[in-house]
Amino acid sequence: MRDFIEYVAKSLVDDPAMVQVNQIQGAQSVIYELSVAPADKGRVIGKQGRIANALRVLLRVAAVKEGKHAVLEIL
Amino acid sequence: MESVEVSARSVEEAIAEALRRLGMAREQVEVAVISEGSRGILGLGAEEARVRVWAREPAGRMPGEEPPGSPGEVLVAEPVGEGQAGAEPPGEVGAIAREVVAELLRSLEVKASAAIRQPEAQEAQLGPGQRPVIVDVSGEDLGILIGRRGETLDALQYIANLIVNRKTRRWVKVIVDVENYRRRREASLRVLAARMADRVRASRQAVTLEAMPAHERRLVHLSLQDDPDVYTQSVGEGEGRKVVISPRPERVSRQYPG
Repeated sequence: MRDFIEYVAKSLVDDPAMVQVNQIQGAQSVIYELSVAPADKGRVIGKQGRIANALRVLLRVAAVKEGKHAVLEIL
Repeated sequence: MESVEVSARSVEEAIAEALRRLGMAREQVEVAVISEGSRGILGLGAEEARVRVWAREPAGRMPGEEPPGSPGEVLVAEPVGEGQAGAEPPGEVGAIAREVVAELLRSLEVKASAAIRQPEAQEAQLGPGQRPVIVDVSGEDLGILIGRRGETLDALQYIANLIVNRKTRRWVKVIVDVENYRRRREASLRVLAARMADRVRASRQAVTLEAMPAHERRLVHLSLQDDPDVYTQSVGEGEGRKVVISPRPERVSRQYPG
């Protein structure tokens, strides 16, 4: 799942080297912290958060599989 | 669009009868099964199978475009001829789209494969610039990839579009489908639209369909746009936007000139 966020982020930003994904495991949930270059933030959030929301919908696929709630935070 | 609705004892018989009426071969038509029918018990409660059959768009299918293989064969969609300046080398966009979707699936840890599907005749009619690239995903337990009302699939398609457009630096529409989900959904939406239009015709009362994403609403609008008795519009906001099918106002009578 980390791979997924990383792949999408790196494909959309101007500065792929700055893309970082941190995974924080909790008992009930997993939090993914995505950080990108400040200028690229809009590219991973999208208008009205459309890209971020699409990523969250897809995260649920994995969440269902692992039985854990998945959260995406964009830093 | 010419279409006939036929009832018979079985789906096969109904299709055969429809083909006879249209004077067409099975490959020239699209079929939607409205009711599979049932035998009933000892002939009681038997219900006839009902199908709607319509001609595929014949125009725009150039000889070279005819799918050369058996149905289901994987082909790369290639823009035909024209030799337009700046046109993508044939198949390149398709190959990139397939790769992107395959990579998305892999990173999502979904065991599935992606292949390019030849566009339907209707879509093949569009010019090379507008023709969508269709990536078909197949594998096991893919229900999870479709999601409620195709929500997950739409998200995947949206992301795939963004990445492909960025990679190819041009605007291409990528359609991601899972085991023909979109095609089946399309067929059932057409049937639904036709049935609801019949209801509106009979009752002269507007019918509101359930909320649907934009491309599904579009399909309903398109499939009823030539209907002389009803018209469609979308109401509501965002996720909750719905199609309303209403009776057209009665024609103003022309019997009284002047």
